[in-house]
Amino acid sequence: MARGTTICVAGLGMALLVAGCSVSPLVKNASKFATEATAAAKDATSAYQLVEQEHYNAEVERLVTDFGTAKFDLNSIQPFMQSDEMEARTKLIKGLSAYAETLAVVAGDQPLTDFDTQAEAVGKSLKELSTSDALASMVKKAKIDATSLNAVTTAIDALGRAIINHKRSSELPALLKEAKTPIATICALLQADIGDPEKNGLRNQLKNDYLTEIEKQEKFIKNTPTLSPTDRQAAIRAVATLAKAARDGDKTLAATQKELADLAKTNAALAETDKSKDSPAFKTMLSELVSDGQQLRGFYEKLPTK
Amino acid sequence: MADDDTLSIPQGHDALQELKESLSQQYGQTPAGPVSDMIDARLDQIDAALTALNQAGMASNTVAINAAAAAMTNPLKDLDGLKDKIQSIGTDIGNAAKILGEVDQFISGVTSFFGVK
Repeated sequence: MARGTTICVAGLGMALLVAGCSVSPLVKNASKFATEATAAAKDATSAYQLVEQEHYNAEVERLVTDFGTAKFDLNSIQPFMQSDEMEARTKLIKGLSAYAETLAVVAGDQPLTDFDTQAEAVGKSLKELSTSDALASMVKKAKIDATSLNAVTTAIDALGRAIINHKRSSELPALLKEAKTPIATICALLQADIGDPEKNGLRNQLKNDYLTEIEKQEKFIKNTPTLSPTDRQAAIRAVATLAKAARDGDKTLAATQKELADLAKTNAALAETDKSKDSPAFKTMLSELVSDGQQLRGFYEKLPTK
Repeated sequence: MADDDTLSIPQGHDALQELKESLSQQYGQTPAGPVSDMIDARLDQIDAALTALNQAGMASNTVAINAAAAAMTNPLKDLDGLKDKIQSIGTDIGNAAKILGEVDQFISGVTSFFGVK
C-alpha cells in the first residue's frame, strides 16, 4: 500500500474515532429511544384501528343475519369512535410521533428544512387540542391522580412548544425535561382509553364485538339446517377461530397499554440520565420497551390497511 | 349492586355486561327456535346499549341522565336473581317469555336511565 493511502486511511480512522467519542451518551440514548417511541405511537394508532375494524365486522355480521327482516338497515353500520373524539386521539398520537421525530432529528443533527414545517404544524395542533372539549372529556375519564384539567392542557401545550423550539443537540436536555410530563400525560390518557375488557374502553368494545360475531355465527349454524356436514364443521370451526381472535386481540390491546406505560417510564428515565455515561435504569427500561414493541409488531402488521 | 337512587355509567355498564354474558352463554346452548330468536333479539338490544355506554364513556360527558333513578334501583339489586333465571330458560316458550320479559324491563330501565337506545 502506498504511503499516501496509508496516511489517508489512518486519518479517516482517527476522524471516525473522534466522531464516535464526541457523540454523548445522552444523544445515543435519545436516538435509540426515538426509534421505539415512533413505533409505540404507531401501535397506539393500530389499537384504535383494530377496534374500529372489529366493530365494523360485528355490524356487518348483524346485517347479514337481519337480511330479509324488518331489522335490516344499511344505515345501522356506524363507526365506534365519533369523529371529533377520534380526532383528539389522533392529535395526541401525532404529538407523540412528532416528539420522537424531534428527538431523532436533534440527536442525529439531521437537516431541519422539511421537519421545521411539520413540527410547527404538530405543535400548533397540540396547542389547539389543549383547549378542546374532547381533551377535557379524556382527562375526566382517565381520572389522572393529582392532575387537574388545567395541568394537562398546560402539559399538552408545553409539548407543542418544546417540539417547535428545541432543534439543536445542545438543547436535548431541555427538550427532554420539558417533554417529561406531557409525554407521561399523553400515555396515561391513551392507556385509559384502551380500558378494561370487562368495564370500559377499547378492550371492552372489542370483547363485545367479538361476542356479537360469535353469536351471529352460531345463529347462522342453528338456522341453516341445510348445511352439509363439511360446511357445518367449517362454520363451527369459524366460531372457535373467532373466540381465539378475541383472546389474541385483547392480549394485543393489553400489551399496547403496557407499551405506553413503559414509553412514559423510559422517557422519564432518559430525561434523568442527562450527562451520565452509564444509565442502567434507562437501559433496562429501553430493553423492556423494545420487547413490548416486538410482541406487538407481529399482530398489528397483519391488520388490513385502510 | 346500587345502594341508593343514583347509577353511574360504570354500574349500568357492569350490569348490562353481566346480562350479556349470561344470555350469550344461554344462546349457545339453546336449540334453534322461537326461544333462541327471543334471546338473540335481547342480545341485540344489550349490544346497542353497551356500545352507546362505551361511546359515552369515551366522551365522558355526552350522556343525558334523566330522573328515572328509582326505577333502576330494584332491578339492579336483583341482577343475580335474573341471571339465575336466565340459566333456567330452557325451551318452553311460556317460561322463556316470562324471564325475557324481566330482561326487557331491566334493559329498558338501564337504557332509559342513561338516555341511550
